[in-house]
Amino acid sequence: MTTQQTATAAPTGTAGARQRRPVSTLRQTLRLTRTEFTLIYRYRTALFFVLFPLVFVFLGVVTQGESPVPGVSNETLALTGSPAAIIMMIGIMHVSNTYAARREQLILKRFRASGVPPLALFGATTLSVLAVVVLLTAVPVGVLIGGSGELPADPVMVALTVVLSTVTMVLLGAASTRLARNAESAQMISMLPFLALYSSSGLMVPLEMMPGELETVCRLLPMAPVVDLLRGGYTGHDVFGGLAGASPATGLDLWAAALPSLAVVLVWTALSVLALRYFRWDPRQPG
Amino acid sequence: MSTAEQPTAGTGSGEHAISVRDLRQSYGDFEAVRGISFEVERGELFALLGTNGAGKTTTVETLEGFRRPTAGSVRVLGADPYGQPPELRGRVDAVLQHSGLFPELTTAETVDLSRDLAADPMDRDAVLELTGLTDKAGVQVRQLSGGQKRRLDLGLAVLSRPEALFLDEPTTGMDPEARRATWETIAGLVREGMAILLTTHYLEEAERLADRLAIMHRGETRAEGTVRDVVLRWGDRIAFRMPAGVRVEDLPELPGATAAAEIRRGEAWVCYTVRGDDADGRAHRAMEPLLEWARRSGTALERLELRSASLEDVFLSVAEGAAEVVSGGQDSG
Ligand SMILES: Nc1ncnc2c1ncn2[C@@H]1O[C@H](COP(=O)(O)OP(=O)(O)OP(=O)(O)O)[C@@H](O)[C@H]1O
Ligand SMILES: [Mg+2]
Repeated sequence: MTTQQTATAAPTGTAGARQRRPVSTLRQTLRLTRTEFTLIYRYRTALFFVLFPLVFVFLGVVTQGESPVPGVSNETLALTGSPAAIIMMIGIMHVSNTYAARREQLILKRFRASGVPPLALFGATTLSVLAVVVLLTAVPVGVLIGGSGELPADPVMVALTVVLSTVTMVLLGAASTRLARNAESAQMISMLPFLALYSSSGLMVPLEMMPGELETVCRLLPMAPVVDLLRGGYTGHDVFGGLAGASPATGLDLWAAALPSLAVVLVWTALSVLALRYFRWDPRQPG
Repeated sequence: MSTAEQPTAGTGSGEHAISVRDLRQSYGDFEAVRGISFEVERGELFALLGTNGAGKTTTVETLEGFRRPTAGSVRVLGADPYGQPPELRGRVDAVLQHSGLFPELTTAETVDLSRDLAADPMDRDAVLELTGLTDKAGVQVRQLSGGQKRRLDLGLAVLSRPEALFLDEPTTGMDPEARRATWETIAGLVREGMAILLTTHYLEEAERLADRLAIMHRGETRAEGTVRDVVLRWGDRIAFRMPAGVRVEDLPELPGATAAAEIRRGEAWVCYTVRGDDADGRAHRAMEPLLEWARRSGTALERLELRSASLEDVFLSVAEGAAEVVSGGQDSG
């Protein structure tokens, strides 16, 4: 019954004689992105990870006390910085978990064996995470607009920051599975960078309250400049030298002030791409 | 007589679909593959048999581009496969030793995904039909049985209609009917010009499908050639119970044969292994002087038997660790 079909439905022709246009990597990426959405929808743990970051948004809303930035409330500072937490949470923790699981289940290996390029696989994950991040970021933005009518001062800066930091966190999350034997240990291992990044981001403790050297280190880590760019871009304040007494800035002035932070973010994006060189596709691969 | 030599099947055109030359592969201190060589042409199926841990999967994974050879070289469709370079994409596919499927997707979704990632793929219905999973189309992969997953693996690997295909134990876990259907599918692909490298533990599978095969043990090839060659090279066996009062030295010399004494169920036996190029006539030529000797010396050859080898005989003697299959017969009863 089954064999007749091969001969009729699958004529390979003389090998090599066929003229076939390979599917472009972009199309493969978009097709895999669709599957990622299906999987996020079906995979409960993933869903939990995806929704969990919303907690940080609510933490932001209940923040009390005197704001360090004149004319910008504490809630606004918390809400505008919260996308960073969302990105870290999904990027590092969710991606490392799913990638370690997929490697263990030999799913990644099979895709590679059938010629799907790494760019399509990482690209699809990045795009799907980006879509979820954008969706979740709409919540704090909605609260800001709905609550006090605050629109982003520089939407391009905010959007660019979200995109770059999502790419960085997704790729670092994937690369971190190099150190993990399986999905469980990947999840444990990813807690460390998550906690390190979260506490160095300025979301938990304002950076200027730290000792000088520590503050410098934090500003060189990937998350602190992201938080600054988000806050600066949304509120239109030059927060890049510290929150205390930050003054309003717009347009080129704002971008000029943001340049060092942007540079750090770009360097981390580049590093995360390089880190993929060490990605393991095969659970049996030594190391 | 060398085992690895194979009477020039190469076309001499230079370009083999798959070629492995003096491949060595080490994991740390452990050398899993120790200098093996073979070629697979288009429209040919080459089977790698061997004991557990012989290095078959390691070899296949090297050809799939997952490992760089420690020494030696491999080529697939004229290219170095390491890292799955763009020129091989869409032209090579594989069934891995273990399935790699998203458990949360349905069978149909899994097929659709692979189809959309491939250029000019087979129809979804054709793939489902080929895998015998038409009635499981809407079922999540996690609910499929082991053999059903294996069939889906094969469907995904062939739907892209590759030029070179690697099958690492593709029928493991299949029921006899599914296995037979799979054999016919595979045979059809070879007829259409695909170059296939197959590993299997089912000797019947190799006998049915393989144009040529190699038997590996501990990283080395111990026998290679067509099934017929391999079996013939192992030789024919003439055996009988050791006649009373006859010493080994008294036994006659037979043309092209070596004699050995062995113990079978507590009895002494004589076993001649007959080898030689004249595969069709050699057993007869050896038997004639033996019977002549028996007649003249008045010896009765009790339980006299003559049998040619099966692939299983060859495999077992490889597994027992015979350094070379051609050297010496079985040394245990
Ligand atoms: N990553 C690794 N590190 C160390 N040793 C390994 C690794 N991968 C494989 N090996 C060893 O290499 C040898 C060959 O393994 P391989 O999987 O190639 O065998 P095989 O012939 O496919 O066996 P089987 O028939 O059981 O599938 C085995 O002894 C195995 O333990
Ligand atoms: Mg194997």
